[in-house]
Amino acid sequence: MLRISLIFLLFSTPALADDPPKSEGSVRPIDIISFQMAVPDAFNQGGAADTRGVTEALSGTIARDLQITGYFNLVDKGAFLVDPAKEAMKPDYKSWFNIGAQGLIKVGYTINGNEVVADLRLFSVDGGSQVSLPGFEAPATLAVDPKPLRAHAHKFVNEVLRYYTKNPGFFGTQIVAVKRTGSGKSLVMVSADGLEETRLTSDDSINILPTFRAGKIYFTSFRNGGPHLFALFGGKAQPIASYTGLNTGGELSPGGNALVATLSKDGNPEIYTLNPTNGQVIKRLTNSWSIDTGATWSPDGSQVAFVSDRHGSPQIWIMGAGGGGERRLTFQGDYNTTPEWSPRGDKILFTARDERNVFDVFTVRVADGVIERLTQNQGNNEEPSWSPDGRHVVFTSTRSGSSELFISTEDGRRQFQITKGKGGYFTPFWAK
Amino acid sequence: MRYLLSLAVLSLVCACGGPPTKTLTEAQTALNGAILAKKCAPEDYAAAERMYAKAQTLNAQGKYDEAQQSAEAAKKLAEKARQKAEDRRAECFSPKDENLGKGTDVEQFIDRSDPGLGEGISVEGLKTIYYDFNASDLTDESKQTMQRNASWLNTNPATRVILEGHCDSRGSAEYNLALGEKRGFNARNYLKQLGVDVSRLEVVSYGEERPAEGGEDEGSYARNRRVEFSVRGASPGL
Repeated sequence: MLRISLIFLLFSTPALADDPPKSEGSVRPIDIISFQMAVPDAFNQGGAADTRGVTEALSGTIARDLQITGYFNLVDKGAFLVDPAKEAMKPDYKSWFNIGAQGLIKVGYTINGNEVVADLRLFSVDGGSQVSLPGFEAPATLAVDPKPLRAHAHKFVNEVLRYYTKNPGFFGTQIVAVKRTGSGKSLVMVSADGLEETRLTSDDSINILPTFRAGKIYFTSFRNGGPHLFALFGGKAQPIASYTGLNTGGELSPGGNALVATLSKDGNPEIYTLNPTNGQVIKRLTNSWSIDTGATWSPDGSQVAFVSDRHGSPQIWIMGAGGGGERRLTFQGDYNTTPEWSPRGDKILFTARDERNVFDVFTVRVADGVIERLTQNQGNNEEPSWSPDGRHVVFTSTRSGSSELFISTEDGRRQFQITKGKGGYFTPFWAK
Repeated sequence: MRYLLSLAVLSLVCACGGPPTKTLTEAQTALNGAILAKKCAPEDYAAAERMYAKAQTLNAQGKYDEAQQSAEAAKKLAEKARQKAEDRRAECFSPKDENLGKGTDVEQFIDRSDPGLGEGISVEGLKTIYYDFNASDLTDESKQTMQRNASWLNTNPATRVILEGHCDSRGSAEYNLALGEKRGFNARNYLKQLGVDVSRLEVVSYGEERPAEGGEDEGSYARNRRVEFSVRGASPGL
């Protein structure tokens, strides 16, 4: 009997769809077995030959996306017993079953000039039948262009994920990050699969620490001579706060009605809430001689997590959104920073420096302080950010030589490098 | 010979390399004492004068070790000139020149301005200070540097100066902005304790964003943990 074990089942009620594959949804908490998916190359259903990358944009995207999620193992194409093009949309289930496939995705295309009819289907090998996915009951007509074809493939993968896990996938979402450009630093927008990138700021000053909530990007820029807060929407950088000293790390609340940020105008770095349009102070949240910075909202907007070194070293703390009730969360190590609260509310991501001065990504559970380590012995791993549904994490890692973006399952079990840029990426924030 | 002279000079100079005020004063005194040589050994006197002027320039440029050497050399040249002039006094001195060297108010020749810290020094007169890992308090070496910086600042009370706080590239970018600012604040507070008017000093933190050098080794990290001085309007220090 084939078993499916998917890691999120550790933390939530069973997440299998109402009409699951016939195999059991049993969970083995220690051992994660990834789902065996076969994704043969897209095949021609009768039109012109593919000379413009249709196959790569469709089945290539699907295969890569499934790997990024960390939930699937792709069955080796060399092991296929049948000719996927020949059997077309009538799978020989036994032959797929015999090579260990649990699911099968088939993509057919018919190219006609500058248009292509794309037929994307999911089959349950165990169940011996096609699975109907919303939006993909019938083939779609698209332009022969990588962008719309990839977008279509991403939508398909999101539905595959929704079928198996009850949660749609994150493809099509955006990650804002920082890259070195010339003598300065620029904001860039990176697609969740890491393959599409757009530069957002065009000047040559230092632009850093972006956040991206409710459709608005806030960031810190030195373009006017010191660290000031700006917002990026409507295609323009809008100045928000330029008090004396630091104006850093602005993050919009989930409700969109307040910005939390670090200002040092009153003598040393403290956390404040500000009006998100004009930067006027709403409330000062901290009042201590120490460095208080790195503030981030809880998903319901009732609390703020932040970094404070009031006990002698930078640690993760939480407090009420109006200040007060400060509670320290991390007690191991002497350098815990960059908190981000999970959209599911239960855990906070952060970066920790260990005794060898190596940086790694961790989570701490808000209720009881239990720590989980996501990276180890893999270069320096820093500045993590949650996916919109809180089941994946993006962070930077230097394990491949330069600082690149990696996406990981929330417990660090499966990690996938999504960028390969010269000069490296920094401080990613996954749009929520 | 010159090499041994340099070694001898260096062994007399302390390791911290401050302005050679004492030696400059001695050289000036020696020149004053050789005033007879102006008439009786003019070329030797001129050579001593040139060497003294060189010592003053080097001092003004902050090249204290070289200034020390030149001042020593000027002192020796002035001595040589004086001696030569004495040897020739009989043949060159005439009664109506008696006033030279006698009754001259030597005091008026002594340069009382602070050597090397006068006008013409740009921001080169303000030296960068460095910090230990994770630390924002001043080291002993930094304090010495800041004392010289304080002199410059007091001599240039009108110049508005920026203290830039910097960190090495490790760790949280945002926390490093706060740490860089703390380094700048501590530096400014120390200057205040030394009596500098800090109202014209602004602190700007660059965190880890503007390293002095790009290496990822302990040496580069150490050279990036710093506060450096710049003048608004000039390009920000790299």
